[in-house]
Amino acid sequence: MHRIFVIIGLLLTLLLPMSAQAINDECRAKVDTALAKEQRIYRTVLFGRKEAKDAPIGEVRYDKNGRAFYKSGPHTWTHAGEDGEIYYISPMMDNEAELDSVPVDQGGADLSPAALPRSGILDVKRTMTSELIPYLTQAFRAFTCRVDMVCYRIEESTKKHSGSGSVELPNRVGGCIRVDSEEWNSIPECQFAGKAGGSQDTADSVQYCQKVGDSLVQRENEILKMIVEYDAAYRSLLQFAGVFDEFLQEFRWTITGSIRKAASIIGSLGRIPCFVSSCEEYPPR
Amino acid sequence: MCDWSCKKLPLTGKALGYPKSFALFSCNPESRSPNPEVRSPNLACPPKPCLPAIALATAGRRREVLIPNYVYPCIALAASLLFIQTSHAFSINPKPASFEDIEMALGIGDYEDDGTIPTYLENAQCGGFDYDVSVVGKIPQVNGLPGRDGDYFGNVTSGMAVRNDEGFVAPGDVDVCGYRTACRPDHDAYGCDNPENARYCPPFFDIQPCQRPLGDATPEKDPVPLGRNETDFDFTCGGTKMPTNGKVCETDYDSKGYMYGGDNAGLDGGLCGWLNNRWLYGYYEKKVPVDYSCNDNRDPNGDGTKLLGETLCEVTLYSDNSSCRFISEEDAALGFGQRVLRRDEIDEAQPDDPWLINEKYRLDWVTERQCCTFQNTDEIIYGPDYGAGDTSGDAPETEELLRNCIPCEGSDCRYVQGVSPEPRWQYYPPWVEEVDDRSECFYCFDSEQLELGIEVYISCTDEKAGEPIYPCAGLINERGFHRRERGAKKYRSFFRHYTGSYSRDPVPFTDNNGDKYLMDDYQKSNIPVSCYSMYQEMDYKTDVARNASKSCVIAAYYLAQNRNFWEMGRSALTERGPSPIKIRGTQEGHGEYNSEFQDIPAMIRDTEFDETSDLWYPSIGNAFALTNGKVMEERYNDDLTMVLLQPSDSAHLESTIQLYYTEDDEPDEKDQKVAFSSGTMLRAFDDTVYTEGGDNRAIVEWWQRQETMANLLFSPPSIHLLLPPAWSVGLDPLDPLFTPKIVEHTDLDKDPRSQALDVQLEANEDIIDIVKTFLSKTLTPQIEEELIPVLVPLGSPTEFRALAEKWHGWAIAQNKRGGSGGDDAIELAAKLEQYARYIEEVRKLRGELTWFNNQLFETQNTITETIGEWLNEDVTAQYDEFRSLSRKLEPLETIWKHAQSTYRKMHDINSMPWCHNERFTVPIYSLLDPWMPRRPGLTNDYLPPLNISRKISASFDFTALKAPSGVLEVPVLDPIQVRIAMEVIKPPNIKTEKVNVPTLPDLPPIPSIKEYIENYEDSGNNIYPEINVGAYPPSIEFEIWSDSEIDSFQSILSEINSVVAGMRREYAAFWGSQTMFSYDSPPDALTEQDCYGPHSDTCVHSEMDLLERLMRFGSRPAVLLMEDFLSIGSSRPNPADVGYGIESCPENDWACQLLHGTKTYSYEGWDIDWEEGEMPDLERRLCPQSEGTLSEQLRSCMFQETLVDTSGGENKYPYAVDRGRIIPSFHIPDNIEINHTPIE
Repeated sequence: MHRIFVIIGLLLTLLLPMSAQAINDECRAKVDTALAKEQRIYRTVLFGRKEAKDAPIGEVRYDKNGRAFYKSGPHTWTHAGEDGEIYYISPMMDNEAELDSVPVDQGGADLSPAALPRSGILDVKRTMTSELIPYLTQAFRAFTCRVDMVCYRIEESTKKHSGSGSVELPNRVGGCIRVDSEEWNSIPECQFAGKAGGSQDTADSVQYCQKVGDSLVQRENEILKMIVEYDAAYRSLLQFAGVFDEFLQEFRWTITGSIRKAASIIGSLGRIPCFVSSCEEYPPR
Repeated sequence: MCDWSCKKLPLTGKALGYPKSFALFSCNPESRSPNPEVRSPNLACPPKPCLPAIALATAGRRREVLIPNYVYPCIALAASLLFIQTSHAFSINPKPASFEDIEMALGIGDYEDDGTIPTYLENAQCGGFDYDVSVVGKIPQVNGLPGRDGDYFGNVTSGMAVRNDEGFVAPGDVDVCGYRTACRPDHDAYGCDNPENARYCPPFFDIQPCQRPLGDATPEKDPVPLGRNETDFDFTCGGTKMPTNGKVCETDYDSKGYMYGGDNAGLDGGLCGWLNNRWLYGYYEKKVPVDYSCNDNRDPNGDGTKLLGETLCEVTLYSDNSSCRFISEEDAALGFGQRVLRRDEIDEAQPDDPWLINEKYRLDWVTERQCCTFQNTDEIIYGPDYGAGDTSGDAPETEELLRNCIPCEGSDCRYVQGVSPEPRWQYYPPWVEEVDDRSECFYCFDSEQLELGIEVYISCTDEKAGEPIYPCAGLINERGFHRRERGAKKYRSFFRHYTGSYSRDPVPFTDNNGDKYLMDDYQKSNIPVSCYSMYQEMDYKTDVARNASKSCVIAAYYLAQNRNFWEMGRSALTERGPSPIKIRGTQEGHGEYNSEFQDIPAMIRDTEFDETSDLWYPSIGNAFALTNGKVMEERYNDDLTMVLLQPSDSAHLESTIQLYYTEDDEPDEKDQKVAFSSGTMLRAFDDTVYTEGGDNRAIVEWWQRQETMANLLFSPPSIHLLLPPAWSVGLDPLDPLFTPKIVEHTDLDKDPRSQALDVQLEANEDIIDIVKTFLSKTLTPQIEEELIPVLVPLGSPTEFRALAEKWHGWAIAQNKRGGSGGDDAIELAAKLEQYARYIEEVRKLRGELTWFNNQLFETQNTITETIGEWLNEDVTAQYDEFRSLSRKLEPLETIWKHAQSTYRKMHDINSMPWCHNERFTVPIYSLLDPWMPRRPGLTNDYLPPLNISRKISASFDFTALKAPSGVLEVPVLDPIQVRIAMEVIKPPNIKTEKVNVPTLPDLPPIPSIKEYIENYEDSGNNIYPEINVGAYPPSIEFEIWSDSEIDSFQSILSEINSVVAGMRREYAAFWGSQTMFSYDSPPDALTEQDCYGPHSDTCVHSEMDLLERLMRFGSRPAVLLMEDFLSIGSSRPNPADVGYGIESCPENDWACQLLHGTKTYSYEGWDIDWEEGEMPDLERRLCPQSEGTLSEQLRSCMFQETLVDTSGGENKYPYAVDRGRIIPSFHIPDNIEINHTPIE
């Protein structure tokens, strides 16, 4: 009997964290989703976004609900998830594609259908990489701000009472522009106030967001460096290649002509010996 | 006789640098009973030859090798005198490591007096020039020999003198002595095949009659001394003794000792002696009683003793001769008058009385007579009147012309038709006096009785005698007796002896010590010359000199310095007797050399600025160049790019011959440039120059033309591969076509990328294969990977089996408990088992790529096969033929090289025993026989000519090659592996009773693109674009000479070879006659003038140009003097004026290297015609909903099949991750197109 209680107790203890874990998993999942979206938007700013009909087969885009769509045909975008398959055609995809979490009038990127195709910073032609650096750094700074904002949002959400829906949050992150938008309201799954074990979850969520956010930023930092290096090399090559292409076209005939002439002579030159007798002086006249 | 005692040294010749090893001996002289007569006056012992054993071994006899004590200089001397070798080739390090090395070689800077090259030049034997000295007076003036002199500077550009064709210096004009004979050698050439001439043809009289001037050698008497190398020979020309100083004409070679009772007389010894004393016939007479009518009074039918009538007197009527015979030795031992007689008694040769039939009437022997002259051997002259002692029969000068062999002097030794005399008339009885009224043959009639008509013979001394009557008065004319006889053959000399000498002005030159003084040997005298054949006067300009007529010896072999040529060569030390004699090397010395070698500037910079046509100002001022605005606008449209592409520096490289136009070629002064080296235009000359021929030098010109032709033949047309620079077509410069060798180190010297194009190629036999590989590599399209993401489950069979085991356990427990779900659980376990089995099949995906590559290669095969076929059939086959014919030229090259080497050796080795310059001497036409074809012509029309047609070189021109753009896609599967969701299939605790048993679907099928594609292709479509092969490019023709042409070249080259070899032999014999002996190996005493056979050994000279020959021997040293530089030719004509063929290389002065032509064809080739250079959209769908290119469709299909179909609805496979979250893994980034954005 005593043994059964112990076992049940153990089971209970095992169960409890699971449920708490379950709750925290949701918050973590939200953290992941939010951060992933920021990263995607950031990347879109860097690389641009084509219209859905021009995208190649194999491209993946997210819609406003966070669902991933795969372009499986020239006009078809497919989503296969828990909730079954959803199919968009390209114009619909454009309409449904996710937009920036920050509204356009508050400094966000305009990814509305009207603004497509949007060229990314790195798409700009006929500039040198050095000239793109300020924009890239600015985008990166915005990205770090957004990450901070996400974590701030999470943190603030944890202070809110669970059970109540999403509430407005004062959005104040040091060094970043204020953003007032519905998107940045609290996340219900992360509201732990008044919940048993809430402090634990709070700590966990906040910690998690910090950790993931930091590593994300750091990773993107490294990746950006690499991108810039590659871009610089690439643009230098393009500069040179353009001139060299011209050179090749113009000079091809001179080079090959000389080669042809030289080849016919070089072979014969080797056979001509030196006539020593012609090294004498001549008598004065 | 002196002898040397020798002991063998442990050294071998090899140690001293000789190619063959031979034994060396060290010898010390030991005099033993020297024979004072044989000894030379200044020596203790006569010198023995100083020869290495090998030289003697090759001479066919093994002799003691006798080498003096000083081995080393002896070998050197022997080498220099006997082996005429070219000096050691000078070599210098071609890659000096520092400037000091260069200074050391050139003798500048610190090494001013010491440079390697200047020192070497100073040690040269000869050469150089001296403009200040004239050649006039330096051509040897020859005295005492027959021949033709000439005008030395009459034909300067031909290099030889103008021979004075009319001015033949005949033997009469120079001192000559010898023997002449009325007999002839027993040879068809002298009519001796005609039996009527038998008496003039003694059997022992050979075409080459005798081998030594004097002595008394006959086949019965050995020559004393024997000939050189102990040769035994038949005859000396005359008797007496050979003088040690060689001056034959000063001895009593013609002593008539016999007449005065002496012995060893010249005319009685040797061949002359045999002619005079052994070639005889017998003379017979008969005293016959005649009657008063002068008829033979003997009984004709009786025994000749019975008289018919009354004898009036006796008359010596019958005379006849026996046939000529050679008197044997025993008979010769008898005295005069006995030799033939004895013979007579022995055989039946006694002639018959021609009048009587009775054989008893034989003539009586009287005396012997000489066959060829009919004269008595006792030199008693028989005249017509009274016989013996009557000299009235012939002119007094014929009193010497009695014997078969008599001496000759001066012009007597010449044999000229109509001038040279026949022997004296020989008269026969009956003498005039005998039948005259002073003889007994008269009678008188009694005059008184006669008036009565009665003939009474009374003595004419009676008073009554009437006038005497001579009945035999008409006898001499009527009976037709041989009144007189004369030898039919005129006296013709068979041996002549001259004494030659020459002198000229000496040539000043510098010897090896740098001293300038006259050491030149410029005169020689007292050179005996003996000629040993029947005299025949000919002009070798119009006649061929047969070998038989080359039978004179120029015996410059006597020890006095001015009588031989032994000091002309390299100076050296010789060992002779107690003190060594220094060979002075008199002709060794040289003129000046030029110490500065100026090069013609190869770059000709035209600094003239032509305002109308030049773009750039040629002078650089203030560090920038200016363009000419006018030209820039008119011609280049003010486009700076075009301007920048034009060369600003109008310097150009001009290939030119070394010489510029002189005033002879360009009378216009403004076109004349400097003659930089007229030395190059010095003409070669040969012995074919003749008066009417102008500059014609047949051999030289012919040879120069053959050199040009042979060069054409042996540089056959070549095949060029022209390739674009690797970088311009995006090719790898380390491709084997460009770099046959693997580059191991990046040595800048040897980095193939910095080499010239021809070097890179190293065209060889494999070139065709390399080209084939190259073409197939460049012409096949590029391949690119396209990733096709597929979703495949990840799991480990062990894990699945463990799970199945647990479920099984629970099911059993459950069933035991009686709960539900046990069967489901067992089904689940079975499913898990199935998973375990098939999960590994994911590995099959690897095979997809191989299969796909296979498809691709089959397609590419068409390209490579087509190219390969073309290369094999049209190119390789022809190329192989070309190469095999090229190989056929190799043996020809050997023949030609041999001819060239023979030609050079003839000039440099055989004809140059000592340094001399033959220019302006008189040509010697007899040296052209017997090797020059169609003599006595002096032109080269009949010398074998090579006639090579010029061919065309072929070029493979790949410079228009472009690597194709466009890619072929190869789909490569990119598996995304996701685990199964374990919590779904996590087995419960065994005790748990309420469990929801999940149902697992089948494992999602392993996707296979192979199936899709096979289905697609079954319907007749192709995933890759079709390859259509258009028309073949044409086959390539290589031009080469045909088989029969090459065969004819071979035979011509062989002919050339034999002509040149003959030439070399002749000149080698000519010069060799003077180099056969030396101070160390002089000829055996008294054998200096021996001639053992015509055209052999020392006996190689022809008589009619002895003057020219001695002139040639005495020619001046090898320093180029003033007039030598006038003996030049002209420069090569400008091919633009005369044509680019053989006419641009005139053979009289030039041998050139003509190049073959090249022919260029318009481009033909292959092209891969590929629209857009991209993969096309497929005709059909591979699977529903898919569209577009191959990779796009495959991506769609795989997405559908592996993500959508398998992870939703009933078939939902429990992936650990929500499939919505798997979708991003399928993301394939876009290709970025880089397009040319033109500047607008």
